[in-house]
Amino acid sequence: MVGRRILYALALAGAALFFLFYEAWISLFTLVLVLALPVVSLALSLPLARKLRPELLPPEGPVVREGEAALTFRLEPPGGLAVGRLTGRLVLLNALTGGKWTRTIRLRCDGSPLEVPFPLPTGHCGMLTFRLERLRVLDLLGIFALPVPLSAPDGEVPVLPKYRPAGPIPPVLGHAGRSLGLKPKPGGGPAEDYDLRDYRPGDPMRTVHWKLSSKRDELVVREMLEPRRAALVLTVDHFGPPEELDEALDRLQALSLALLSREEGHLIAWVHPVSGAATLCPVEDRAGLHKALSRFLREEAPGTGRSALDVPLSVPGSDGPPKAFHVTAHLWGEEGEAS
Amino acid sequence: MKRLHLRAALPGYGMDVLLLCALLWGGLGCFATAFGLSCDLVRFGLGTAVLCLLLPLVYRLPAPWSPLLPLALLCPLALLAWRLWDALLPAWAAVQCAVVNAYAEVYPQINHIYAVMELSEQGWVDALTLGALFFALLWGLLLGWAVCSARSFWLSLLLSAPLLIPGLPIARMPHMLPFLALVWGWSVLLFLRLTPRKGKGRVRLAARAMPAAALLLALYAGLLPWRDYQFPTWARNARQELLSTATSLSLRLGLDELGGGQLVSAGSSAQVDLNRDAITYDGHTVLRVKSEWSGHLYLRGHSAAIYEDNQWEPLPEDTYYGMISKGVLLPWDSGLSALNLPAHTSDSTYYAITVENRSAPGGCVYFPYQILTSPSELRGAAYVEDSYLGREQFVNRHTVYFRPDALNLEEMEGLSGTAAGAEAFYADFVYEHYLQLPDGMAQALRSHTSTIERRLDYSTVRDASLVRVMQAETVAEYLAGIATYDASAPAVPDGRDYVLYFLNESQSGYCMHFASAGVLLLRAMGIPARYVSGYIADVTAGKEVNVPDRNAHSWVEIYLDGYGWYPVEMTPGYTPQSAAGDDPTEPTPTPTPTASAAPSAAPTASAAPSAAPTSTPKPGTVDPTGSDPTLPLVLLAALVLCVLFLLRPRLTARWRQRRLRTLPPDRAAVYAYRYSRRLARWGAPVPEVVLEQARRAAFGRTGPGEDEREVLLAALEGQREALRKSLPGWKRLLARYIPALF
Repeated sequence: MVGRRILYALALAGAALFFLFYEAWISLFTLVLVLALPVVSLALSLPLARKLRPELLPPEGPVVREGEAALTFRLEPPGGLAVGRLTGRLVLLNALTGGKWTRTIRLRCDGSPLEVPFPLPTGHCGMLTFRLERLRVLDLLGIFALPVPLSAPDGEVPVLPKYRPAGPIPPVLGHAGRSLGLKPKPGGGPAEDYDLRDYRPGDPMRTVHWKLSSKRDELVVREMLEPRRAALVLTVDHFGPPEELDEALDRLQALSLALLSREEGHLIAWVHPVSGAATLCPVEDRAGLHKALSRFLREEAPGTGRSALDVPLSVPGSDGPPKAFHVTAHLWGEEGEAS
Repeated sequence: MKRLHLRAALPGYGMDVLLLCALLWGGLGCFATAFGLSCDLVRFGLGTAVLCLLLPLVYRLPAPWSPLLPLALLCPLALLAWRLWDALLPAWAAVQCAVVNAYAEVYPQINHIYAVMELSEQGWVDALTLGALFFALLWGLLLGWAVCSARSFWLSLLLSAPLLIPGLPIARMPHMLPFLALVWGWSVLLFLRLTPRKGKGRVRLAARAMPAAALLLALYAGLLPWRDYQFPTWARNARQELLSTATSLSLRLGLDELGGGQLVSAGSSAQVDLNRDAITYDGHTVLRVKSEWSGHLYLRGHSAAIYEDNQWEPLPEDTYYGMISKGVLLPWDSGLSALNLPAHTSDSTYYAITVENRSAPGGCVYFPYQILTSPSELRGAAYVEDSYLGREQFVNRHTVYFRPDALNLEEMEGLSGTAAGAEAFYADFVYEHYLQLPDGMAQALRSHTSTIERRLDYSTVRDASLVRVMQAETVAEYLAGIATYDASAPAVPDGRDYVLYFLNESQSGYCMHFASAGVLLLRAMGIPARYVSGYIADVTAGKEVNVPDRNAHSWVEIYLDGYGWYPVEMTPGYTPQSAAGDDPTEPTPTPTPTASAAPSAAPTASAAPSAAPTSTPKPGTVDPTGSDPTLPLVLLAALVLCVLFLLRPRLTARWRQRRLRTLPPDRAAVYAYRYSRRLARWGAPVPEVVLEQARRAAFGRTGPGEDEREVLLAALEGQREALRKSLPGWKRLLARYIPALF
């Protein structure tokens, strides 16, 4: 466009000089024509520019690390008119690694709907945010860049960890809660196990074990028990080189899926690499896992930071200290053993 | 299905037909109407219409038939033209005659031509129609390729513009209708230039662009006064101003010297080609003069010494070896120039004059008689040999001092001391080099010199120093008697001597004729003389005066022993340098050369100057020249400020980054917090990390560690980026360049 502007400036200067040094009507005609052509061009281009509605469509399926995926730039020109030149840039930012990519958009449209794929950089996991910037359509002469209104100029696509088969589940995760014994069931209600104890004011009358109370001549109540269950927490560090994060996330996903296959709900947790604030995401099903991973991928991971191992985790509602397992890139080493 | 396909292709075909028709018919129509070629409109119109209908079809053939086949058709058509040449020749002859004769009307040196064949008027029309159609066929094949196949605006323009251009240099305007058709075709192609070559979208866009362009052109044709067009006065003034600026710029850049004076207006030059046609003037300002003296001034440029092959040339540089170095007369170590010697013959008042060169050529400073400023006092200029005052490049404003009363020979006090010795030594040089005449010239001028010598009247001369002046006046009177002033005197025929032709045959000419003849006559009489060129001007004390290019003039300098070079006017109608009359504020009107037979008076001692200025500084103390050195300095300073202003954000950012990285962590945290607060004022909140680290640095028992610096920097970068994205463009620029935030 700069070249065309320079060319137009030269043409205008030439027309002005022609007008000054050539004393016939044709010089005035030329000058006025050179001045008026951009106006006509704008008059023809502006309505077109205002009606253009380009879209940037994310890929339909999930995007997996090192998989192929592309954003689709879609343009349906109004009235089937040709579009001379559409320029702009597509900015992609990986929220996790901080990587940034810029793709230049230079398109022409012959009047039929246009769909142009822009491959996504799926080298590393992370939440890819995409944004259309400076989208302009040139006027017919190519010297004015008219802004194109955007309905949804930005969006995000998570690049998820690669699927890998899970290795043996670490023993610490074992079968949750069996070794912790029983605890009174809040509110009572049906339960397989119960304990007997002396009556305390406030106990409901229906919990009184009348037969035993009559034998012992003091009120004895039946207290329903339920097994104590400790929360399973998979922790992961939110810092480090992207390659290590990728490997850790692959393993985290595999482990989480393995737990889900055993129908064992768990939590995924990490701490802020600077402040150390913990983030806990419950995972009860695949949707929960996706949600947890998306949340993880959306936060930027610096090169160094505080590890989840250094921060004591407390899980609200957990019976006792949670059973935490720290997932790293070295989980299931080459022998497939938990490490 | 086939019908549907045809229906879909029809709009595109129609677009091509219309465009081709506009360019083909418009181009040929422009050429024909510009040169008054008449052909049968009906046959020509039908022929071009058929061509325009057929050619797009030909170019719609599938590849590789199109565009190879249509372009290959050019060969058999060229062969056909060769076979039918007898039938096409009248058309070719008619076109040739029309074009050449149209040019001959404007340029007399081009001869008219006439076709030898004799045809009736209808015969010419028929021949032209046939020729035009045949040309349309050939040209249409090329144009069709550009419009229908390549769909290129530039190609179409390149192929069709040559038919419009030939008439323009001689102001042969085409008729409006074909011109509009041509311009319409160009405009539509220009509008479609960026769109893809194929596809329905282009046709749909063309359907909008075509009527828009047609409407625009129709409006122009209706609104512009093309029938009785008068060139506007403001445009003429603007042109004049533009020319002045361009010539001034070329002077500042020294282009006048590179181009041998061809790039700029009339004035002085080291070499004078007398064969050249008379220079035309447009009245633009060449010099701007401000003087402390009122009167009529001769502003001297170059002087020339050698007359050879109708040219005036300066003496070769090696001639001056041992005599003049860097403009200073070497003998006696006088520190004087040959040009400022005469000013030392008087002790009268001297005046300052500032001459600004707007567009005068020659690379010299134009100065008045008699200049007093010595070589060592000059700034932005230097005496060059004994010929002129050279101007330094990029300096166009000079102040010099001059002593006009030194022209009054009757009250001359004469030179003394080293000046007298230097003059005596220089006089020998003058007699050796300024009496040269071409071989045989003395004999050729003998009849004239003998007549002049008979007219000399020594009885009127009271002082010996005035004898030569009287002789020079007599030469001037003689020239005025035998020749008349004619500003449009024709050039000298080839092989003839300029001066002899003027004296013996034409006996009419302008200042260059009179001055050249005067110099040679004086030399033939044994008086050292040289040819001088420059400008004349009427100046008023304290006022700036514009000197237009039409004030260019040439005159003669004679050498007076014990004095130096003295100006003598040879052209009738011109008056020599003289002070204004009683009223110094009224300038003497600039003399306009008139064809008068009456001889002009030779320069005489000027009248008394106006009151001596009180503010004139001593010429020997401080710089008397005015090259206005502050302007480049101001420009340089402005440039430096601009660069600094533009670089400031980058430099500040680098400095800030360095501080953040090199300061101790706690100080860096506080510094980062301050910077973050500045960013926050523009709308980006202070990041928690920055705030926390700053708190720890200021109030905590242990401040932030070295390992936390990167986190701090990352947070700041994030805040900066967020701010940059959130701000609109103008505000971003403001934040970048005023507080230099990023």
